[in-house]
Amino acid sequence: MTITTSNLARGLDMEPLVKEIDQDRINLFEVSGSPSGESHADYHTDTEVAQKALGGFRAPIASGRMTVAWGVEAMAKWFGHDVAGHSARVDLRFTIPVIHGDTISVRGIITHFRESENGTSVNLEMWVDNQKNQKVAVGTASVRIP
Amino acid sequence: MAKTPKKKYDWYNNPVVEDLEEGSYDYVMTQEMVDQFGEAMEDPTPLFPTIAGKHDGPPKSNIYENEEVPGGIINARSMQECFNPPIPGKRLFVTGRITGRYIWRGFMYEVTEATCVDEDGRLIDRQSSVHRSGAEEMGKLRGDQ
Repeated sequence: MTITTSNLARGLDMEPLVKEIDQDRINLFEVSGSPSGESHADYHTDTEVAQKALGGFRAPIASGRMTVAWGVEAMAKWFGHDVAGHSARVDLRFTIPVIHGDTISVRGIITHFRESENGTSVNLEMWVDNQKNQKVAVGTASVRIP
Repeated sequence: MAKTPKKKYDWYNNPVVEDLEEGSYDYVMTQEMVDQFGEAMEDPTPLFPTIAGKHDGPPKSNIYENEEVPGGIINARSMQECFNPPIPGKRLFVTGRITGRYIWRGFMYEVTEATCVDEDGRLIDRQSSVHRSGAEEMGKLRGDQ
């Protein structure tokens, strides 16, 4: 269900966006952002580097930017591509690393909205859970519905 | 043309807020990059493949050498503001700045920001991140190492 001004409500719980985390996709994310198409070993892509850099942690961790990108995707799912593509704002603090094998859910709840001559500004609390119900990221998001 | 040597970054003495004009850069967002991003995200219609570009990093690293930070650096927070989805094939221009630096609970924090505009002058997005020292602490957070 796409949220519009006609079904907008404070306290509305958004349908979670669920993703299964896979190391190949983490690696591809890192390559996709490189104009040269080159990848390099870092704690997102290489187990040894991750163990050294992250105090012996057992696996590479997904970039926090991937979590933000899932947040933007969730906003597009909830409010539509046109609205999210021109006004979405996602701001997340990363609390627990995300790794291969995790299943994460991007969740949101509408905290308030305000109508003005430029449209309706909608604010959400946004958070991301893993399969253990641990919050891996917490923050806020917003859009403006024209 | 010879490359300008990178400067040393002095965490304690550099300006807390600094425009990184010299570190600005540009690139073409190719359809291949968009497709790779979509596959990585399992999103067939991704809006902002620019997120994977981590735009707020290069403006600083194009000017300064990598600094040694106690315990390594990790991304603690990121923000994405979306204005207009990028169009594949268009050249993107990225400018950045450091917007803050502080110490909190013993960790060093730095806030960077980058604005992306395409070759037609369309504002694409603004990315911001808070990086902090002590990456080696991160592994302890999951409790299932």
